[in-house]
Amino acid sequence: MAKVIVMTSGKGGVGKTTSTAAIGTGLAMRGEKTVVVDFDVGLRNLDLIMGCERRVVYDFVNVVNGEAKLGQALIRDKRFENLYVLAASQTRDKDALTKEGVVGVIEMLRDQFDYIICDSPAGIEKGAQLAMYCADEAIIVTNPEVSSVRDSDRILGLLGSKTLRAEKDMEPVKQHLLLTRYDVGRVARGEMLKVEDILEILSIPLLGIIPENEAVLRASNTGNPVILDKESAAGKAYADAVSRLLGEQLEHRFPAEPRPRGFFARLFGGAA
Amino acid sequence: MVMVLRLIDPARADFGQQLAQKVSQAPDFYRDAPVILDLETLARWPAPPNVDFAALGAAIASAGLICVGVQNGTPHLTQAARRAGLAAFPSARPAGRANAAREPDPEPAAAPPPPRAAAPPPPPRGRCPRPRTAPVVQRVVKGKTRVVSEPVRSGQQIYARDGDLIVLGTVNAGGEVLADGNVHVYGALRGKAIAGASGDREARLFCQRFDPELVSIAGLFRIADQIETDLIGQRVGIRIADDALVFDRLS
Repeated sequence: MAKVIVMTSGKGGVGKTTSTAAIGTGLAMRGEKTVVVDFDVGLRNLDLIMGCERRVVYDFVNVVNGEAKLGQALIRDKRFENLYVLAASQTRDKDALTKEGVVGVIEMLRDQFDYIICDSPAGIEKGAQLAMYCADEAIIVTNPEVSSVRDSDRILGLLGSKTLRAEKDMEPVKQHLLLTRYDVGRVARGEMLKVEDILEILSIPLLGIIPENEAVLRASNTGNPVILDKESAAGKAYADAVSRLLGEQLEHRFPAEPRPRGFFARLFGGAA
Repeated sequence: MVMVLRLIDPARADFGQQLAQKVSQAPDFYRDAPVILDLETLARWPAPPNVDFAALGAAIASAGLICVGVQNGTPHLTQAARRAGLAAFPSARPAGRANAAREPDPEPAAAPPPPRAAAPPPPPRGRCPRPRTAPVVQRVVKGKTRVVSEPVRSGQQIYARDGDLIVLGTVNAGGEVLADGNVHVYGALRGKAIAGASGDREARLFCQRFDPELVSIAGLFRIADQIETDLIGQRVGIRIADDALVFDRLS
């Protein structure tokens, strides 16, 4: 059965689009037929990170408005034949999407794909609410700093009330926490929040910890999702997150630290 | 929920106006609320006056409340109320009556005291540092306890009307929990918590890990900056004593 996963955060610049590209690609690499959908109408970026920006003819808004067929707007990835991109419109704004239109498109995608990854715009307004509306699961992308954590908390509240599942009183949206831009050194110096503190506040299961890594920027600039950089710390961390999303039990791997320490010491004693 | 409205002088022409003004302070709170008229004060007049209960009922109705009955009247007054279609309730003695009894008996011949339609402070706004007046209209019936098993997240507000609120998880920064009764938080309290939201000064607030943005009972409040730092992270209970919030460390 198709799964709709929203990548959301409230706060901007935390890594939603990077994570959408990485996890979408990762799922495709594992054999799942996957589409990544850009809900950030007016500020589209996902096509850039996916490296297909020069092949966008029709976009999500065209499909919602009935100006193009879904098949015309889906862009097939050049690296993986079971990976597709549905780009956002750059010339419209978020009012161009309607709830009915979004539900219709997502329903069509459900018939064709195993995973539908919705890349939410920042904020908590209409665009973000439409991105989460159809979700079965949500990946909350959070940086280890207080404003990001608080915004994530707010988004978690909305997931419990502003989604189709909440409205229909179905089983609630399954939530995962993805910690991104995690800098062990800065956490150790007390400049960033510790994993345990973030988990304590948000109280949702941890999907993965993506270290702050230069490979991410390099990947974004070249249009290659960072998960393809299999040697990079971020690429490995995303691969682990994908495995967990598929139900595998994996220990949380941590970015390298100067002193070799036990896993739990590293996980929970970073700032000691 | 039943409110009690104590009638002190039935002859005042501006009764309806005063009541309407009270109601307008919290229209949602009072909308179609049933009211019992307490006749105790009238009953203690040397010669209890005749009361036009039909007219009084109409005045109460036009303020948006529903008069359902009377209590504590003389047989004569109660009879008159019955004839106007009101129920006679057995005398309920809500807390706070002790104060009322101490008030001097009004002199009917002299200038009568103004009608008292004082209401509990309107539903909680941290800005109001004190309850406006000693509540004469009181909530007599307590509602059900509300239990919340999910964390209360930033931007969420949970209100247990008429009853207690129990939060099993945490209340995160930016979240608000309110109850007309007591508030219990079994996780960390990092947001706002308001007990006695409609003026119950007996209400209390408890939490397992105390780190709030604001706490309030019956309109008395303390913001984070005004809370002693050695309470932060502790198990704390809060109550009102001598017109001030008292913070008790729970062992």
